[in-house]
Amino acid sequence: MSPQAADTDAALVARMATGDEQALGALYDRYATTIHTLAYYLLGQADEAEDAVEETFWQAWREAARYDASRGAVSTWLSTIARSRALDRQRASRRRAEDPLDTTAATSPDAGDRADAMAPAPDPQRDAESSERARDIAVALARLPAEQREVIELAYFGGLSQSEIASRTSLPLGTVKTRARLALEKLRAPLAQHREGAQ
Amino acid sequence: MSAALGHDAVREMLALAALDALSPSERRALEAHLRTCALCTRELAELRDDAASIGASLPARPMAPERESRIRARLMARAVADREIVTPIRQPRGALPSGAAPARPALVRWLWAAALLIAAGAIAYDLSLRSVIQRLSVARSELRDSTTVLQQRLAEQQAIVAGLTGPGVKVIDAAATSARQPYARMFWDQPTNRWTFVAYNLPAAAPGHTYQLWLITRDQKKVSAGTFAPQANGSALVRATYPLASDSLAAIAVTNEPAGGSPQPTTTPFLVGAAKTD
Repeated sequence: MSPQAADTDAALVARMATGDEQALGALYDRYATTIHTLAYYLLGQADEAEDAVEETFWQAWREAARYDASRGAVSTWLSTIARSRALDRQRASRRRAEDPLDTTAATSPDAGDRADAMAPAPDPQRDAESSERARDIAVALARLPAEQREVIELAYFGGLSQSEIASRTSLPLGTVKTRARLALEKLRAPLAQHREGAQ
Repeated sequence: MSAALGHDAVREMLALAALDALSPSERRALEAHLRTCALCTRELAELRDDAASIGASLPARPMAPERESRIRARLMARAVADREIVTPIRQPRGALPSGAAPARPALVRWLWAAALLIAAGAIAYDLSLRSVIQRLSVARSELRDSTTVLQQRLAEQQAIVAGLTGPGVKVIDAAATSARQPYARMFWDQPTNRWTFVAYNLPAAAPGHTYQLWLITRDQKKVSAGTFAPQANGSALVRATYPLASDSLAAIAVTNEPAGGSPQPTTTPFLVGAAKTD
């Protein structure tokens, strides 16, 4: 095993912070598919998703020195950047739409089929462990009560704020907060199982 | 919400903070609390990992290998260029000649003063140069970003025009089945598999619901072409890319679905348009 392959995610980010572009390459190799999957799901267009992937890793490179492990895993940090970049693109796309037309909609059949995308993935994976983890989390998501799943999907995939979710669902803000917390906590069990399995 | 928040109030909002669903003022109040509360900081980190797992649940969609390699190569090249720009410029070497013969005290003091002056000037020049380089780097990056945005905007506009005016475009009108009179038209650019759907006079979807556009094939397969919400004036535009044999479309339809959309229609379409056979 090469020294680079042995590096943890956090070690790669630390090397990036010192200007080591090989570490950026290694992190990209590990997470390009994960980040592209998320970006494509949010944007529904291959070109847009690929641009979002590049922006994500570029931002990670520029902000590597500010990465704080106490605020979440590297994978979480990258996903947060990717989601943010993709939602920015989604909003920019809406703003650009010529009045009176609106491009709020997902722009491909794939993006519209969220319920399908949430289903356990029988798709062959390059990384079997990652595939198994994705399946388990998808199952956990599918088992959430619909009203809890709706809240976290509106926030995570729709980029809505808590006030917007409350307005969209006609729920009190307190209920939105409670449902979000309950939903996230229910996703923790399959995650913990895979973390233990990985150790 | 700019006032300091209590511990319990912050704990309540942590899950939504992990989902990045706070307003800027709420986020500032949260950050202020986190600076003094290790418990909430730890809990937020856990919830962030939980939230990120939502994205990790999606079926993997790798990029085409050549595209993945191209982006990797571009990132590496940018990183190398960036590193060269931000690498600190070496401090100027001392101005005093080495191995000089011992000088008289007054002359030594004068030489020291002159050397310090020269060194200070060099450092100031160095810092100023570095600042200019960094500013130019930022400007170049912003210029590149804005060029990319303009190119994307142009490409998008061209795609819309091509999707409406191409020689192979098939048009399907959809009329309302209810008393209200929404109207829609689908432009199917068959050679490129691009679909452009425009609608007018649509009422707002009910709270917790969204509109969903469907392509219905002759064998009754219903393919989602996306969920959407109309503008305040009732208009909407949906664009999609989906390959379909030119003779296999039976109709297009719009249904009212729970927020987030459905894998298959769960309500009766309120807008339907049959595809005419050529």
